[in-house]
Amino acid sequence: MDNFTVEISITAAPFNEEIRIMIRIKVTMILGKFARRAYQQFVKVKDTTQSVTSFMCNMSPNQKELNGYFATDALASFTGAADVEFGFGPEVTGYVPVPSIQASIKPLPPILSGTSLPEANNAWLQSITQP
Amino acid sequence: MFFFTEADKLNSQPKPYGPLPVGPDTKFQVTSNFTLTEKAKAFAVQESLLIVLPSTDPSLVNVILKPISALGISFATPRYYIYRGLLKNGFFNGLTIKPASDPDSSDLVKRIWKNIEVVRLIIPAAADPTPTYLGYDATVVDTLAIEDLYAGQSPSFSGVRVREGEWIGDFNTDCGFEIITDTDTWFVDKGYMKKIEHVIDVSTMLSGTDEQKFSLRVARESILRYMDPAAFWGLYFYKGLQIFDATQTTKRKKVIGESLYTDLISKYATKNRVYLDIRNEKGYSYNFNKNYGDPAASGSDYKLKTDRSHTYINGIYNRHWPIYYSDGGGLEANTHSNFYIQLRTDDNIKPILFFENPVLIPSTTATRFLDETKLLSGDTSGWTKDIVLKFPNVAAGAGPRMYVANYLSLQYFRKESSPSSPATVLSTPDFFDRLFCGISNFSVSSGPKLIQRRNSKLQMLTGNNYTLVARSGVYSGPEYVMLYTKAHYANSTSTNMYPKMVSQLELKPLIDAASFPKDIYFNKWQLQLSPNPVDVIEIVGYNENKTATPKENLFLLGLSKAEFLTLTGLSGFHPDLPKYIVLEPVAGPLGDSLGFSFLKYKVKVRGFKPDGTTFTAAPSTDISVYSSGSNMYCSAAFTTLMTHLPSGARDPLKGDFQLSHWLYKKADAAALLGTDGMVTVPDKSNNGLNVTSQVKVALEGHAYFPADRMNGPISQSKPSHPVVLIVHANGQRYDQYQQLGILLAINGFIAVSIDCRFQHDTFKLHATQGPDATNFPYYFIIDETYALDTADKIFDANNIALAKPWIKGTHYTVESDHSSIKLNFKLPSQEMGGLGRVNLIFKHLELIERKFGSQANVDKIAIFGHSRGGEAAIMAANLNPNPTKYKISSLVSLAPTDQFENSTLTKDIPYFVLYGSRDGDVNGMPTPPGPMRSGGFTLWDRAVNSSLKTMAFVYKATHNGFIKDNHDYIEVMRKDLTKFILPDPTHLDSFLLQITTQKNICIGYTNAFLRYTLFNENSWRPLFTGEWTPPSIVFSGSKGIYFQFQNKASDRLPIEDFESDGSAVSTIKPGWKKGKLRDLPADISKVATNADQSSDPYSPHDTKALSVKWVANDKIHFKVSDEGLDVSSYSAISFRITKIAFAAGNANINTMQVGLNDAFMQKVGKHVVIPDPDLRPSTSLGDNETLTSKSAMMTARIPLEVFTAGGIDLTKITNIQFLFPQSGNGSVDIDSVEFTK
Repeated sequence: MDNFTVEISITAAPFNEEIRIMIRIKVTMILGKFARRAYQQFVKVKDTTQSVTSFMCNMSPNQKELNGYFATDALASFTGAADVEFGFGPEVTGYVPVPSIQASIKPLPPILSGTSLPEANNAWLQSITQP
Repeated sequence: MFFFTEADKLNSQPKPYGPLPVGPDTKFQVTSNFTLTEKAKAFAVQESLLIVLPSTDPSLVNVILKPISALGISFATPRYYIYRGLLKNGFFNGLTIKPASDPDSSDLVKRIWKNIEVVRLIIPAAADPTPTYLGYDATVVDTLAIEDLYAGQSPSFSGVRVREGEWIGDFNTDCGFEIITDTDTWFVDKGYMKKIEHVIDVSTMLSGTDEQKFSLRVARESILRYMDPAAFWGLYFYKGLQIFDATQTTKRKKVIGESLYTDLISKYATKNRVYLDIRNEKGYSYNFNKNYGDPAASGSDYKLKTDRSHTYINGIYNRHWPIYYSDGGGLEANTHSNFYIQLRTDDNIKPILFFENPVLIPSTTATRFLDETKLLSGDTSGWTKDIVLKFPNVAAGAGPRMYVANYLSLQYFRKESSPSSPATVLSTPDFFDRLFCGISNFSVSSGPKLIQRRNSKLQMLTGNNYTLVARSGVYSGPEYVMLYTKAHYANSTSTNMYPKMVSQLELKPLIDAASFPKDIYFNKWQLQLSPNPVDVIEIVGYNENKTATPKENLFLLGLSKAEFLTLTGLSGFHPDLPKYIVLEPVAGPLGDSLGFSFLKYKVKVRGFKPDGTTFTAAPSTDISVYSSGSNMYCSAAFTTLMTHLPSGARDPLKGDFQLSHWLYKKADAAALLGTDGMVTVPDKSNNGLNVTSQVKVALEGHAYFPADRMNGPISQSKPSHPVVLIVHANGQRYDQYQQLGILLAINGFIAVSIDCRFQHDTFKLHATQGPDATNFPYYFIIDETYALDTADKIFDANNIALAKPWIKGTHYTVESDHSSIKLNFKLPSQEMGGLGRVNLIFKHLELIERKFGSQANVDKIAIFGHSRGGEAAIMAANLNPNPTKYKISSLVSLAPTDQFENSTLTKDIPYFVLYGSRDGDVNGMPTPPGPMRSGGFTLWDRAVNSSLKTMAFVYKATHNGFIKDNHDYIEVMRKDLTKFILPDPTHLDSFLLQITTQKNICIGYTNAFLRYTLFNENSWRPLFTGEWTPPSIVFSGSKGIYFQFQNKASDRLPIEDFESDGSAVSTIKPGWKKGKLRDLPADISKVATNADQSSDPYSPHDTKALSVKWVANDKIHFKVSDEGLDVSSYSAISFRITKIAFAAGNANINTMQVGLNDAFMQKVGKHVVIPDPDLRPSTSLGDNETLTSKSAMMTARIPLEVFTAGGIDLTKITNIQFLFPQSGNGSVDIDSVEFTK
């Protein structure tokens, strides 16, 4: 699947117009672009024992990128290699093997460092999720 | 054209055509007689049908020819040519046809014998031909109409075809030749044909009273049924014709111009006679109605001069006969002569003159029409401007050039009826009054066959922006009569066109293709009227010359023969003149009980009283005709007789209203609602959590609504109009549903396509660096994708070098209150989920109410949704925040998702799902162990509405093809993104349904469903049971539409739904018993759910069904009742069935039978056709695309009348049996066994 690249980074992003620190996995299609689909897009991290799916996933306006967002502590248990899988609804469009998830996570850019933005962590996600 | 005999043997004309020398005012010779120098051959003048008939002279016969080809000049083809005085022994030898071996046998005789030789190759004992072979039968009564012979009403004979110029027989020493041009109100019968010659004789008629005078005038008019042959040949002066010439190898030569005159016309006594035949608007002579006359000139009605330099003289008819003629010479030194005429205008306030032969007009820009702008040109003298007519002349020695016999035919119509017309004029104040030809008992056949009677007289039709001359006539059969009027020459045409029917569509039925050869497409549908429904037939397409045809080019009127004869039999009219149809509109607007509008007319007749004045009469019992608005008017009795036209719903691609629309933007919404035009709605889009987020959306959309004129205000023809919300798919835009919106609007709906894209890219920006918050420049960061630098450019904060090509003011704007900055992205975003769409629907409803007020009927709201919008449609029904105000009454899901709320329709709202087998987006890809979520099926299966639900599964249709294009499936076929192999479009088209067809299915079926459910028009129902496909939508090949149909709860009796998983006992009808099933012990476990697809991995359903693996002669046997169940109030037994995709042996079963048992007997019903699943091919990657093939159940309905016809008692049904074929094996799923209405 060398038509796709993956970039994992800590960033600040809006959710319900509130800015929070969270992890973003950006999947970029090198040749071509993603189709707008009826099914919702997703980005997922999975290894042999576990998987976690983005709680929010956007497609960039130029349809070249899928941006999956995860809680800041969602990937903590992925200590080794894992696949970044992506697709739409029930369909997996592709995956990119990542040798080390933790080592791949880029820190918050210097321009954002030092801010006091709240984190989007698992506890916060659970607090806003309706039963 | 071929001259009728050997011209050089014509001797003299003791009795030429025209007034007789003795009694010229009362006797008119119409047979042109010659003495011959010797026996002369007779030739067929045109390709014709020939009949030989007895003469009063036993040694002679007379022959009649009915031409079957055009003349080749601008002149109407005569009805008949009659040859009088042919030698009988030229045809017959006693009781047989004259032997071919006779040296003087004609070409016709030789050909007859040659035909017999051919027949005898097949039937050696075929008898010699007798005189009846040529129609000759001396025993037939004189009143036999010759036209009935031609119509084949007498078995096995309809005339013998003869070629132009064929030698057909021989004249002896005299010959008579007659040209008949008009048989509108009389028959040529056998008695007429016996005559040696025919003279119109009015010498015994009285002229004392008004009635006597009028009858005399009518009798004199009969000369207009004939033509002087000399003038007829003169029409060929410039074109030439063929004559017999024994010296030529071909036995013929062409004569033209002066040689035509010298060789032929000069033989006639009337060789220099030019006729001026002017007819009025009904085809009578110009002043038949006595409405024209100059009081200052003794009532003169036309002026004429033969030279431009002369002074006009007041014209009079020759010898009181209603035609002007002149035997003269050309006074102007030209190769042609002229008549200069002026006609009276009087009560003809908008005259228009029609020349069928434009050669008559001496102009390089010859036209067939001169209308009031040229004829009157503001002149109020009572006379028209000069009308100049030209005709040929020839040199005549040293004298002046002489006229060549000719015939100048003019039609002096009136474009408008005038209230000042005298009572002798057949006024036609209403458009309908001049549509059809005059009728009489002569119009119809007395025999068993359908015949056509073409009227000789021309019609003038005038209407909105068009004027044309039309030909008309009558088709008549033993039971019905259809009058027609077809455009002949147009002076001006409207832009109101019939659609051109494309060849790939199955053609609509024709009423009688053989006798009405143009492509006319009819649709028959039913008006629900009390006490009885009435079928209406409409013209939906007319391919005249295979091009778009103006609608005024064809009008049809259908009546039963009894109705027709009632009209022609009405008394008080002059017996020798026709009557004219009057259609008196019944005041409207009219609508049936289902809301279909229609037009209705009472049929009356107008005509002349015996004294020449006119009046209108109506039958004692009304005769009514109905119309849907097309130019076809039919009585109920007529449409009942059109049994070969299948009755069905109206064409769902048509509409009744004009279109208007309102494209509204945020500012429009703001102005109406007093807000900023934005709304914030809860949504759960775009996240994997059950988290409600707030999204901001501009209230924008496009409303299409019915109007009474194009782009006018909303129609006032009904108190209000149902509202249809169109909810677009993710990735689509609201403006891509225009065709649907337009069709719904012209069908009486306010259709509103709403914008479901939101403005989520409005971010508050926070200062992260910079000197302070009140001074620019700042660096504001939201997600590092979007940052604002000092130059107001957006760039990627992680890679500042990659500046985004977005432009401030175009793609985004900046707002600042000096404490924060908002970055507003102007491009709306996709990704709104189901909940957001639902909330938006109700926001738009508020706006539509504000816009249209009470004209928007919110008691009848429909929601049409595509993809995510399709799922939102049923969510909206369930989540309606104000159900007492907003009554959602119909739902349509096009290719819906099933991903947001596991939505289940619980409200009692009619539901229609439309889904394609090649959906490349919502494709139903299985994700074991989860459900397939092929929303087209799962939403339908789970819907527990007690109203009806129906689903159309369209083979080879895609996700977006119903709206836009097939790219979603194309994307599937090129999944190998790294290779970027684009599929061959031709290849794709071969297995995908054409876009046009998909769009027609989508808009047509949606319109029909909304009319069915919101207007309660039950006539649309057959579309949704799959029993009828509109002709405008029909397609063929491997593609098809297959339906699941479940009636409303009160109209069905469920027998088994197989939901009792693992149980041998039905939850619905306890005690059903299994018959012999393969894998009998296992079959109950094969009652499948789609949750695990344990028995059928290709099932797209969300319901349990009976999965059957069958072998030859297997049966499934349901015990319905021991004592017998009464199902007599139901009309069909129905069940759902599918072949299991990819299962072995399925090719062996294309049909299966269903049987019923009553307490006494068993009856096997008809076969049920089971379609093959549409198997989706794998892609080049060899992935799991084939898994998206579907074992899609369709509903089979078998009418119970099939069983009652076999003696089954529907009040005592005990068993239902499913009978598998007698050979082969296979696997099927069966579900939803029930009796239904």
